[in-house]
Amino acid sequence: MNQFFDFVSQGFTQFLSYTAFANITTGHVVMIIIALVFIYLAIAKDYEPLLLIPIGFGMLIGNIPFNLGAGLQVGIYEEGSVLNYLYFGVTKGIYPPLIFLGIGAMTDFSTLLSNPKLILLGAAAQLGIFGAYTISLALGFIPEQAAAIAIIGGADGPTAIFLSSKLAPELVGAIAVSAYSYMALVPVIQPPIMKLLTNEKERKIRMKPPRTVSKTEKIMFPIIGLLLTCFVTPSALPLLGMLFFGNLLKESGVTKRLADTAKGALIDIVTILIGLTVGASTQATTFLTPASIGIFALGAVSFVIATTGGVLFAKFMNLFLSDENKINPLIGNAGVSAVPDSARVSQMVGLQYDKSNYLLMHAMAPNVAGVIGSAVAAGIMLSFFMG
Amino acid sequence: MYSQITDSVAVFDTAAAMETIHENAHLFQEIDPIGIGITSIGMIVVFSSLLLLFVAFKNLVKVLNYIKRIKSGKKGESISIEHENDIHSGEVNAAIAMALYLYSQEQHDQESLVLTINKVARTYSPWSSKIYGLRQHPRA
Repeated sequence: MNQFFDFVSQGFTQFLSYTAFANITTGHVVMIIIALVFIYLAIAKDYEPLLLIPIGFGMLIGNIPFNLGAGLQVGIYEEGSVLNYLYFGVTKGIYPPLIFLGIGAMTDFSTLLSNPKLILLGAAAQLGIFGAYTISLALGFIPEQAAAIAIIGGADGPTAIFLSSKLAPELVGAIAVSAYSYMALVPVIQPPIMKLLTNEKERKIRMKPPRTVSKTEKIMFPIIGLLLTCFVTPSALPLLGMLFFGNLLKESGVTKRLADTAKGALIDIVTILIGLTVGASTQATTFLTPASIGIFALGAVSFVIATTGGVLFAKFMNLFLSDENKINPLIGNAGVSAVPDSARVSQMVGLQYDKSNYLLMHAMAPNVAGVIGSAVAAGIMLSFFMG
Repeated sequence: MYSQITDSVAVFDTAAAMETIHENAHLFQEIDPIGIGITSIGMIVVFSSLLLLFVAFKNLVKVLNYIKRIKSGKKGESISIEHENDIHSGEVNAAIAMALYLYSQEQHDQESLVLTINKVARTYSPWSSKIYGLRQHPRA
């Protein structure tokens, strides 16, 4: 009988040592609170809910404490666990190109084609990436980590995950969470900078309405775009190839079913998987380090530099443009790729100064150019370090 | 980084790739410790890539118009796909939107009063035949 009770009590003690209560640390509590804040922001404030809900819930999943030494194969970093298999899509850079396929299939590049000079604003905003690179180096990060962190300045989650998975896999979680968090905070970060760098007269500039773009132009865009950009930076091929392929599916008009899948079910599935696994990768035991906090700070700095670069370059371009072709510098911020949030910010700030000046359609041009620009910048970083 | 296993297939070696990355990073740290070199080259390449796109799309309309003009010249027609002047102002768009809105509202009111009977014609199939679907009473 005694032997039976010993067995039961030993089993019960072992069970207790496996529970989350026995393994919880302060780090887990902090991460669970951050996860709840993410979920709150997504539901109550409507900040990027499609991203913050999967990431927030993934953070909850990833921060349920368990006995690491028990070999339960439940944690995302434990080889053989389901989450670990799903995380392969992040670490091997599979999900980002699939997301780019969907983005290509749902993006209308007409505004960019109708006013091609706005493409250059997408290039200027990439200053955020390279600016953040130099600051990261100054703060003591090693060059490959600095490059991976810097890409947050492109405001493009998939590109950030793609590059960091290649250059600094140990930082993927922190970089992805930082990139998506700041993308959600674009309406908070950008307006003060835009107002600071422009005057009343500039904010009220009315831009020429975009011309109608022919179907032939729209079909030729992905083909010419792919050839020109990937001939310069072939290392950006996984991202740009899928982006332009998705766009051709949309614009060709003969592959509606494929385009619908790419911009619907496929991108939704990949968004769920990428959000959940990136969230789960913030396991307190590996995530909560001084480096992660540094990455968060650098993310904010890179967004500020990118926004400044875009707005100032719009003002610079105005020096060479006639009165009727002037650019409203409030669309310069949209050069950071966060599509379409940063373009919405241009519209929102523009309307504050002129109730009938709608900037959204103009801002979409640098916005989609920013997607191409950040992918090119990622390609450059890759070829520098992997070449 | 790539280990050759056959004449035509190369397998990506992740460990070797990471080794190359670390070596290059070490080199950059020595030669370009503040990153000004990568920043300059990076910005120049990004600008060049997007400048190429700008030049291409700036001239795309002209090229398409030229091709169209040659084609129409052969047929003796004068067609232009130049859309530069095909611009709708905000007022025109607002007027069109309002007209469409009023029209759809009107349609809705009429629709609620109109009873529509659609004639449905289906091809015959024994699987859906009423004759086989109902019990056949034996004739006495």
